[in-house]
Amino acid sequence: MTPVAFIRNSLIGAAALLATAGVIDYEVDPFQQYRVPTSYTPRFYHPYQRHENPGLARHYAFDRAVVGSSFFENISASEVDAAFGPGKTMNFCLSAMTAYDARKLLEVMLASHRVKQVIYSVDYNAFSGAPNRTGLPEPLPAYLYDSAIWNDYPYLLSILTLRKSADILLGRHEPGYSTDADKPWYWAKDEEFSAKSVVQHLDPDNLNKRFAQPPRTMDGMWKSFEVNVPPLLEAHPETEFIFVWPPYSLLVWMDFRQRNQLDVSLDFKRRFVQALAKYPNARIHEFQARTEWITNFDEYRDIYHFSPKLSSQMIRDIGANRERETAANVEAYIARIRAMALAHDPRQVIDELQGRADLERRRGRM
Amino acid sequence: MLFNSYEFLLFFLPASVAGYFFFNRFRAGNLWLVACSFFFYAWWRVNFLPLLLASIAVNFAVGRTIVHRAAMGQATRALLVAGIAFNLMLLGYFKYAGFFAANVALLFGAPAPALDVILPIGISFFTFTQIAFLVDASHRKAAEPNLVNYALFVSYFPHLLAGPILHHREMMPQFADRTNKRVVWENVARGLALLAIGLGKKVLIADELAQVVNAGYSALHVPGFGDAWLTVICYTMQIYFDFSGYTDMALGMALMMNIRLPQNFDSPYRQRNLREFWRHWHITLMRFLRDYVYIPIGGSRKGEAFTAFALVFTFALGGLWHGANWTFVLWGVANGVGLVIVRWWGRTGIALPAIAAWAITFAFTNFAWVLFRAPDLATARSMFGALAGRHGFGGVTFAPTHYTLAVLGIACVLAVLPRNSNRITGEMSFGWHWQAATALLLATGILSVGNPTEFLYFNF
Repeated sequence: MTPVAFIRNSLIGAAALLATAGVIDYEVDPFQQYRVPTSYTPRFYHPYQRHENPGLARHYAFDRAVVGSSFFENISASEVDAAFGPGKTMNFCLSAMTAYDARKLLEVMLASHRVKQVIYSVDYNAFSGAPNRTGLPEPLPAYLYDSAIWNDYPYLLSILTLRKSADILLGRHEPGYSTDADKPWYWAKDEEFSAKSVVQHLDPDNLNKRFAQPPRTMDGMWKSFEVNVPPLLEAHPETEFIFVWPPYSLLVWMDFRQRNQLDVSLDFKRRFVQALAKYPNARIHEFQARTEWITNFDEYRDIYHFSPKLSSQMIRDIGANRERETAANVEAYIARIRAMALAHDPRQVIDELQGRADLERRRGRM
Repeated sequence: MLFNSYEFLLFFLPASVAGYFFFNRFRAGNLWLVACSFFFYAWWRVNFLPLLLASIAVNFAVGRTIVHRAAMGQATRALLVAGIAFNLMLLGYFKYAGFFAANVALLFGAPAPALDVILPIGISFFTFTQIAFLVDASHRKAAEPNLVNYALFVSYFPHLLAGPILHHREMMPQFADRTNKRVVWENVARGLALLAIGLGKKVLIADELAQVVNAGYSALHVPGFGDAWLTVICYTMQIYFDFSGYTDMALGMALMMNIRLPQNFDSPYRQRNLREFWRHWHITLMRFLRDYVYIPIGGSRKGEAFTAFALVFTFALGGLWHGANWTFVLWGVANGVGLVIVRWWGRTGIALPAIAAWAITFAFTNFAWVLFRAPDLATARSMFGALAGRHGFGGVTFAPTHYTLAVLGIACVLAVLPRNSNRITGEMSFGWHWQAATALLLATGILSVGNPTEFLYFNF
């Protein structure tokens, strides 16, 4: 065999294998980029939300969307529908979602759907870093967020996609996906919500140790806000944007205090509320000052993440238009949060929770 | 741009190679490669391209002046020192400023300043390449009057980001050789096969093992006994298949253009003492350290005690070159001390059984990689403690898949096989089984670059 034949045959062989993989991936389309599957039950792969969500946003029928980070992933579409009345909701959350991730997803969604309402979880950390920061170390798969198919080769020529396609074709049910379109990204099922789980591995001197959130500056956060939020409001006056401050546990506010992030966070809240006051299609709901929720650590998995029970109550309250925050009352909310953050010592709180957890463990043994 | 990306493999590389032979018809092949190399570098961060251009321009000017003055019999030492200082200042600022500032602050009990300097990719490699050029120029071993050729020597994309670290004299004659300007199909074929093997090493082996390694070194995880041993052996294989995979790809794509880059790896994990290991691992860095650090400071010419010092010092510097962290320095010191011990052991005349010698060398290398991989000394200490069972003698808790364990097994076998990728592709016939293997490796390699991960040595 000559070198020329070797090169020709090797390249033709590689191209044929790649083409076969591409055709299979296009036809099966496990991340639902080209169609809602009819020949198999759609699978929602939590680790690949950033890949799958733009496809869902294009092809599913809905007129109300839930957009947020892991805080809102446990919200089911049906409970939103029950709280908000007529309409069809879909949950489009992304773990560790940043303001940029949200904008990119909403741009895809709003370009293909007439959406009545977007329920948008506002997280301070989502506005940290550069305005185009995405929440995972891997870059956002931008090729899935445009309408061009020609640049989808990373999706079609991917061993990951091929494995998922093979699983579907062979009827294999590997763990790691949901088939429940009502709550596609629900993670609370196997989690423990208790004071014990909150204090586990918690360092009183470094409450941020587990989540390692970077420090934020007002300039940086505001730049991210300006790039990622108002343009959506202005481009889509027909859509109502319902911004929600999620109920972090009290320990988060102590963490902010510990890291000198309390003032910048509350200043951001103030500016955020004031800036949105001029948009008739924006409204804000505030749950961060709800003392009875944020001090009930049995409803938390860790310092940030709250239980589905709180999620459901929050959705019902939003649906009933409770806990509205406006430029007129934002200072009162801020004052309450600041007072709570300053009134407690993290070591004392953790010791108390730890003592309770130990007592429960001893009772369990008896 | 990463070698293991769709953009590189499907578009950039074919266009660069085809364009090189096309433009050679108009004697512009080298210029084309320079343009391709700058584009390749700018793909990462275009705002760092001026840094590369400035580095090339200054070193070219200094080198040319050194050559000119040396030819006239004039002193070149001051210029050489200035040139080296310029390079070290660049490296010092971008790579070490934060490290030194943090340590000085620690010394005085002050808070560490946040310098937030981004490390330009490949700076360690193109800086060392040019320091070697300046030194060679002052010794009249190198001269390059043509800016395009010099820019190509420094920026040639197959070696720009992670080596091999080149000598001017081994590259420029190849670029100047007229017989290299036409397509040599045998070189293209062997280069393609080597590229496929390198891609496979990276995406099918190194990236698979990386999942275990990342879990093992995760800040949230305190590894147990089983976890620690699995993590350490996985990293030993990951770094070899990652870096040698990169090198195979670099050598393969250069060979397609009739350029033979120097070997960087030659079955290092088969070696039976640490000295042999370092003669077969990252060969061009060792050559640089030997020629431009170890020998100039005295090497083995000043007695046994000084030789020991020179070895430890050279390796400590080599460690620091890899990264601005005490873990790297300690890794270098450990290897330097290991080499001194090997040297002294050799004097005893006691020969260990081959299997024992290999096992000691391999075990030492594994332990040393802990220092290399750990993000900080505390993590390294924790990992060493776990290896010794200080966190309990539990089994593996990561639950690696059977596939990952199979990959680890295959990696261990491949790493100690006598025929490495260079020999395989150098000696292969062009029969159907090699065609099928190359096609399969290329296809699976390309299918596996969906989430391209950087080669480990891009960080150094």
